[in-house]
Amino acid sequence: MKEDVVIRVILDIVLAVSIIFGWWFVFVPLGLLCLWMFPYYAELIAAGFLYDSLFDMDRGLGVVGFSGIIITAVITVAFSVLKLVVRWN
Amino acid sequence: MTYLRRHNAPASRAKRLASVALAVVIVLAGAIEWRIPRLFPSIASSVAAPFWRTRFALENGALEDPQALLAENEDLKQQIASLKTVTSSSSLAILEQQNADLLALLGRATTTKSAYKAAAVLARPPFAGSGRLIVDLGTDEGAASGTPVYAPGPILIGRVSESFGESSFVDLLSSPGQSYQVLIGPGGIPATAKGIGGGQYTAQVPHDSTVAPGDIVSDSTLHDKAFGVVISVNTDPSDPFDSVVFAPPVDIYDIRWVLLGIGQDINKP
Repeated sequence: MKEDVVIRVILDIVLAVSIIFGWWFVFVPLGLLCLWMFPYYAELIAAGFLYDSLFDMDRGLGVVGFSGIIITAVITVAFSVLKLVVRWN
Repeated sequence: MTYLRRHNAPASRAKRLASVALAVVIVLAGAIEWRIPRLFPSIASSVAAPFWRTRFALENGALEDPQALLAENEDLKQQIASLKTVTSSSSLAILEQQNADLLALLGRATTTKSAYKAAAVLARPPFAGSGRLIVDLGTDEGAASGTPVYAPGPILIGRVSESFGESSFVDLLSSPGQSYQVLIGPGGIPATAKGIGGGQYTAQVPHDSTVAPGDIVSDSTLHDKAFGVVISVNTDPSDPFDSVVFAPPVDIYDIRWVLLGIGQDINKP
């Protein structure tokens, strides 16, 4: 259990750093993997929020400025439903 | 395939509570962003800036041998000195002096204090947003919304849209939705440059104009700074206007340094 938490925190840090550097080829697969591996992976929504805060949030863009948080929230909910259907975690 | 259920409660009370808490946090964050628009971007930029600076330093030879860097520095100093010698004796310097004299004669000499300050490009498209750069110079150094941004040359490429303490967002003039008044070709045909993305602009000029590929496009200020070079002229016999496509003479997606015209504001006429 403790090991899971340590791995989760390490992967959270990698996810955050990959967003800061714009390494989409890291954060997209890693985010999906973590979403599948860990129960209730809300960090992905926080990652979407970080992306918006860094690169997207702009009054002029309207809803598009919040695309990161919207997309990650939708993916998180979709994965939660999918995991419920296949009784995973 | 049969999956074994691990527990009886598909969604425990704790998970439901966490979901509600998360929803509250998202709504709260949205409300804060609505009331204090630049709070989260400002905090996020401050957190990310050390990472960006580290990467920038590594990409620019921070780990190279100090002797090699000193040698390169010396070489660059010599190049600058030789370029200064060439430009001071060339017709360019004479024309610049003539321009300054004429502006002074017409009472349009620059009276406002303005200066260029170099800024490192910390993030560029697509991750800095479409048509946007993030640079490491902010309000602490005098950058503000409307400050013009130049590629080395100087070539006008954008303007500051948002400025924080140590970083700024730069909207590229070549991104869709942006426009700027320019003069095209040797005849100085006035036109509106509209950004079409990919570091290119388009503008409409009269059908009988003599604009040709390779012509210089300048900004429409009295100081006539370079803005771009005509790439192509698309002519349609049924259209009274020709469509001119042009781009800056530098690759704006590859530049690592830009110059900010501190004290200037291109949003003002």
